[in-house]
Amino acid sequence: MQAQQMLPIEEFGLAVGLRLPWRASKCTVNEVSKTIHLWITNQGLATAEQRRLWFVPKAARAPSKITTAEDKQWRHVDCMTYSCVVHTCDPLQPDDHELDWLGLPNSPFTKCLAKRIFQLLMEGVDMQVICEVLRIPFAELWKFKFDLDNGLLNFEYQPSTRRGAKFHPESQLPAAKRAAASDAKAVEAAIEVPDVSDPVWEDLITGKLNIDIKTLSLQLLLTKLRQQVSQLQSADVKIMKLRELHRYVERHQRVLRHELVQLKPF
Amino acid sequence: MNVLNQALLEPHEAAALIASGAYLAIAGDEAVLVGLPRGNWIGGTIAYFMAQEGGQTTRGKVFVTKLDTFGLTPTITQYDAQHVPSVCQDGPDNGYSLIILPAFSRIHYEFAKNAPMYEDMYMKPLVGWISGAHLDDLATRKPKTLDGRTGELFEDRAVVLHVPLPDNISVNVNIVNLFKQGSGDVIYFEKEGFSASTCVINQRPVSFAKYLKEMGHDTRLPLVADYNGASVNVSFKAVNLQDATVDFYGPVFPKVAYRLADSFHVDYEAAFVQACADLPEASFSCNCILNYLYGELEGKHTGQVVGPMTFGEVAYQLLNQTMVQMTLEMH
Repeated sequence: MQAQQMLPIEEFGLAVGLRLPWRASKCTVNEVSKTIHLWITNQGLATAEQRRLWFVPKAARAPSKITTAEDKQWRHVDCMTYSCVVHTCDPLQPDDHELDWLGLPNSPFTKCLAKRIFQLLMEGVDMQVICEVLRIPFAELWKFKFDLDNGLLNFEYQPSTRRGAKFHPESQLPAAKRAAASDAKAVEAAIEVPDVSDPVWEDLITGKLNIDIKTLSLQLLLTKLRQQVSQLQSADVKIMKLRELHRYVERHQRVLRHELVQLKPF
Repeated sequence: MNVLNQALLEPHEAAALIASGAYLAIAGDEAVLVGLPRGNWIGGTIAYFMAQEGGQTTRGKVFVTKLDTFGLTPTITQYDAQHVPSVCQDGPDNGYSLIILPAFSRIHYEFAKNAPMYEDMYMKPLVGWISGAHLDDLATRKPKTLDGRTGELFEDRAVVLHVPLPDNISVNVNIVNLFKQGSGDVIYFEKEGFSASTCVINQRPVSFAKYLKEMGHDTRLPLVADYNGASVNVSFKAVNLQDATVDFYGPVFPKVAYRLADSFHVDYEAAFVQACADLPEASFSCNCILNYLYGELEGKHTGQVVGPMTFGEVAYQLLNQTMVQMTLEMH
């Protein structure tokens, strides 16, 4: 059973981050699924309607009519404990899809939610955890990551302050770090997993470094990652791929001795 | 650890194992599988086996793989094509998943095309096989899978045993591929799929069917790609010169460099004996029906390795004409 009720819509418009000329035109709340559906438009109120609304109390205003064009919708960030779905029937220009409260034509997520998901993926959060925390279907997240992996989506990665220092461009790596390791230490370190920030991972994933691999899963994973990296435009997504490779090696450290001794940290 | 965990058995012997509460993967003819009691097992239809006594084609026996559980409790899960992308993610943190998929079904094609992109693919061990049927029955019977807990048969659903292992045991998945890339042309495909009309050779688009004919290629020898040292086959199903298409048993992928396989000059039995000589005894293994047919392996052995001869093999992703072997290692 669906219980729907009309709520003041301007507040919802503010809550989802709308900026003029965009405004909320209709809002429904599904109490069963705990979902807010918000229709938005960038078309101004009709003059007569504006005049009428001048003296009508805000709470009593009827929602404006929505156009009969195709209803496009995207899952937005949650509104308190409610899921939020943004709809629009407006014809959209390419730039409109870059707005935080709208999404790409084939994306299930608004730009705002997509950026958050991207951030979590970049920080190495497990996909299942992302699904649980953001309450999004796994299939939709998988498709999103698939598009990222194949260079179909691009986002700017803003490392969290706690992780900000993790990734150094190769040129900025402390020279002392490379020079300091004695031969004995190098041998000892060879069977350990180099830190994720070590350039050895980039060399491996770009094919600059080739090692003899005996473990089937690493052979297959590295082939996939190298193909993906070769066609990626975004340096940020490449970092995500490095993390994936590093996570794999950490996880399988005890069966990768043959491979790890060939990965000498810088 | 892996002693006699796999064997071709009479149905009553398999029934006794099921009754013991063991977790099993069972391969056999549909009529025999549906007659087995309910229990902790998954099944798939197939009539070709590599038994202890050698290669056998039989509708009357079943090949049983008994999975060591070490006191832990495996789970059985069914997947349709929509949900199979989470199969690796659902696997145990330490352990493996054994999957059986029905051949020529939507989920078979979904898995073949997209498995490399699944979340946690290669992170967690995934092995298994594609169910089939006796070649005489293919026109009348569809390959199926079976959930032993309920006895349900599926034509478009995978069944999976997720098997957790103690922390001190790790899983090794190996493949034995008799085929290596030949020294001929590097072949690229522009589109992913189970069929191709054109390919790119020396930067020029070429009709792949005509190319194979001109080369006089023996299509029992597959396409082979080098995945950082692992040879991965795509087997030929049909070459249609009339409509200039080539069909495969698995998908080809763009940006992958393929070459036609070199022929080898010993017979399959000798080649497998040689290739398997140093392999430890497996907890699970399977081999391809094309190796069984092309290598005329009936009555012959493939080293000490036994298992169903299947319509496709899974070692993480779908493979063709390849033996898959999984071993457990104690640390």
